[in-house]
Amino acid sequence: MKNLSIRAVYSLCLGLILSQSAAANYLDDNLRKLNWNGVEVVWIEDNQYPTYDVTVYFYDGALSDNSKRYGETELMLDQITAGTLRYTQKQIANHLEFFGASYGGSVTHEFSTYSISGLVKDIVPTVKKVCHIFTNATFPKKELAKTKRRIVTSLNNIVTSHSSLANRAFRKISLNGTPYANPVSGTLKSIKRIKQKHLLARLKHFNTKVKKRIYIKGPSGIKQLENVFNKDCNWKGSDVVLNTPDVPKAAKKIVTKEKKKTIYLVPIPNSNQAQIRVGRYLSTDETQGSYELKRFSSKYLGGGFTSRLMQELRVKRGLTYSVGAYSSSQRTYGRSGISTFTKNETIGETLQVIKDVLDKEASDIGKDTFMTAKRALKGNYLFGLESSSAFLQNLLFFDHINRPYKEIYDFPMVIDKVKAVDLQKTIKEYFNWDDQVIVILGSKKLKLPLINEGYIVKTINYKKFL
Amino acid sequence: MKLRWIPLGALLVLLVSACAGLNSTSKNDESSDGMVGKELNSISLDAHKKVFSNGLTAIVVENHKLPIFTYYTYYKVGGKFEDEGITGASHYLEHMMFKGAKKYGAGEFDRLVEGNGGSNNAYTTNDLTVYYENLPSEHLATMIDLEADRMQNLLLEEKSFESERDVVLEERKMRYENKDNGKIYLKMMQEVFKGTPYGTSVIGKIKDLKSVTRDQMHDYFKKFYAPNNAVILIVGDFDKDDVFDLLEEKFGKIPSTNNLEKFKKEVVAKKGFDFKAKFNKRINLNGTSINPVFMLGFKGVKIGSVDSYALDILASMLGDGESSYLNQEYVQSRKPKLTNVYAANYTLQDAGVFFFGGQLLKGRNLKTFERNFKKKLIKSCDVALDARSLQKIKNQYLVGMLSGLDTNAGIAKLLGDREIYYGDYNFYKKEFGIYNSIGLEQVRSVCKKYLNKEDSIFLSIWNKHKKKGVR
Repeated sequence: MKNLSIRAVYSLCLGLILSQSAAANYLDDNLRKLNWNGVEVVWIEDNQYPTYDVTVYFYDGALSDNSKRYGETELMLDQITAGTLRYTQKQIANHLEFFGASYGGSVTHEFSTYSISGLVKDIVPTVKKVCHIFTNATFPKKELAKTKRRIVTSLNNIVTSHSSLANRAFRKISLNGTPYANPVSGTLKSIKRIKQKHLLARLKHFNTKVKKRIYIKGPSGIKQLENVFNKDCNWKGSDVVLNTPDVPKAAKKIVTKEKKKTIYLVPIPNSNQAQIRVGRYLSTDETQGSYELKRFSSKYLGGGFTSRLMQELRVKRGLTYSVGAYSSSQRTYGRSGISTFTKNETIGETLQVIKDVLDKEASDIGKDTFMTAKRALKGNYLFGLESSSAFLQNLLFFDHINRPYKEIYDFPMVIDKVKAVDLQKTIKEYFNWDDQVIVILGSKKLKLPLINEGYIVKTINYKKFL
Repeated sequence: MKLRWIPLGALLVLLVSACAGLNSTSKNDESSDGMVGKELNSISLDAHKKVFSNGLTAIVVENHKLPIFTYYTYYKVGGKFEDEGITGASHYLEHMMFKGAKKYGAGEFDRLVEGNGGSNNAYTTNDLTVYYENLPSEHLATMIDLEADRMQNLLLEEKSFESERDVVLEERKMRYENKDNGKIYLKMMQEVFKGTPYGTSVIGKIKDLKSVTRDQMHDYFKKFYAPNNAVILIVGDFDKDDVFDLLEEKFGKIPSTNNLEKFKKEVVAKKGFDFKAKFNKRINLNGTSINPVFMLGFKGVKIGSVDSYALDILASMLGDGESSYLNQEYVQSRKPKLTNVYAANYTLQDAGVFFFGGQLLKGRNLKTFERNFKKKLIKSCDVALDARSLQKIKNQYLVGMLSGLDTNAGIAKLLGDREIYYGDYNFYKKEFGIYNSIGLEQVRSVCKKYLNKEDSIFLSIWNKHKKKGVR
């Protein structure tokens, strides 16, 4: 027994050292920082295969969309390939796809990215073409009209994707009164208001004002890109930072003052399963807290089959197929929450189990699950280094939230020092049942059982979230 | 990020149908325009295979980049082996495989994998049940022991068997009953393969899921979970000889199932894989979609058959990416009719289906669209297929394949799929050569041969269709 313990401790320590040194060595050996025309470049040298990934980071996102035209940044990056004075949409797509390149934009509230990947031998013509569209996109009116029509049709049809619609409704309700409540993709109303001139203005803003950083994974051949970015994209360094709106300390509650817990029910037709979202908004102050503890609480409550919620909801009771918990932040705001679903008949029981788990873990952490989650986080950390492309995205995010890369490789050590009481406090802070907003999407017949369970039920038509 | 050139069709090609590959011989590489030879030669996978005396096949690849490994186990059992009354058994059993065995009891599997920093999951198809785990290398011996334990000594405890039944039913609701895309796909597969072993869905019928007993499941397990029905792939940081020794130690004494191949052939022979469905018909499903969602399924071919490669390319040429023919005709055209469109060549081990799908724009007439779409498909064989598009697809396959190789899991799947479907993990070396050798006329030929209106079923799901219920 004694020998076993010593072996376990040795193994644990060795694992930690290996993990930390693996990350540190990886960064030391492969990470290069360059400066192209004032634009910072982060390059991971990876010579394994003749492929590359390039991601351009823009320090601006949907937060600065016009308040009546949410979705314009995302639409701008989507429509950037819709045509230039020289090339049509078809020609642009044909050119880029011929090289087998993947390309496209992604927008969050705080930042945006445009990513390109393909074979190194084609990197110059591919990136040149992308630079061409960034500097010459015209957003032809006819193309824009077609795209808007597609978006409107798809949004109307989101009722067939219960999980997506539940996420959309939950964002709107739980972040009510904050600038993050609107989806980055916009709404039926806001999309209709976006015109060609808005996209042109948005692109000009991104090209000339917004701070950029370029992230590259690939072999040494990528050095050819400096000339392309400097001459064809003509991007320069910028100190302009995101114009962050006033961020409230808490989301506005739609209904308050009742003693009973309120549930927002979003009825949809032909549903025999209830989507459940429980969570809350984290203010800027709360984003400053330990991200390691936030990740620990997510893992402990709803990350994998050994997590507390998965054990109680699925393994012991068969109430759901999956459950996940999260607590994470961007630079100025964050969210914590739980996402699951269950059959209509067990909606009350499922909510009660979630409440019981949160209440219990806020006062008494289970020792076994705590150790399991701790070992899981430490060991799993290595897998974040496996794919250079995925690791590059990790670096991008750390730069965005203004945290040093050192924290990436210190992660296992920090996790190792977490005590049960730290986790308990974190769960109490972010997952306190009384603070959680609850949204249920499913059959309208769920209303009565929820009332019978002692909840106040506010029904909201799903169309309000389109 | 949008992977614009990999919608459903190519994903099936690259992942499900296991079709992308490469060839390291320069003659084949440069048969089109010489664009891919150098890149293909950059791939070198030092894989080693061993077949144990009980029939277990193991393939290992050393990769010392990081102190981690990926472990895949393919069991050659899937939905096609399920008799009436136990549809969904393969998938239900997949769930039960995590519920405890003799040495490692209830909850131990997840505790040891996740608790050591790993992750695990599984999936079931019509042909296979596949389990995979990722762990730090120091736990490889534990992983081998866990897999050996559950291969021979699964508990199937009554209590967890019952609670997992509810879990599977919830999964069914989530994937199919409450999702129009899932509902129409399920129906298409049932209709195209009606009367064949592929005609029973992998998820299973509700009544079967509710009635299947623990004893039936135990029999099913005993028949199919045996070393001579499994292929193991391990990729990561270890010494291959140590791994083969460990596998011999833990799996070597597990008895094989006698006459398994004969039994499997008999099970599927009852129905046979020849198409029996009535084609050239229309099926309307009631759903929640505000605008109709459609699928058009054609008789396809099995994986590895001569025409399967050209059909993969045809699907990609027609429906992959914004520049593809169907995207330009129906989504990007001056008068678009669809919000999205895709084409896929889904090749299973014994048969296949070639299908299209998409969603109509608001205001478009479904019947008019159906007529127009079918008509254009026939014409597309002549007008849509050109040399540049063909080369584009070959380039895309190459990039897709290289991109999948930067993780142990990607390598394990590449080799495992080929071992299963072609009996040769190294087949990836020949596969790209086959794709590269395919010319335009060959693609046109399969286009005309298979996209035959008489061999198709048109399905749509819409909230305006009358309710009939979906099994």
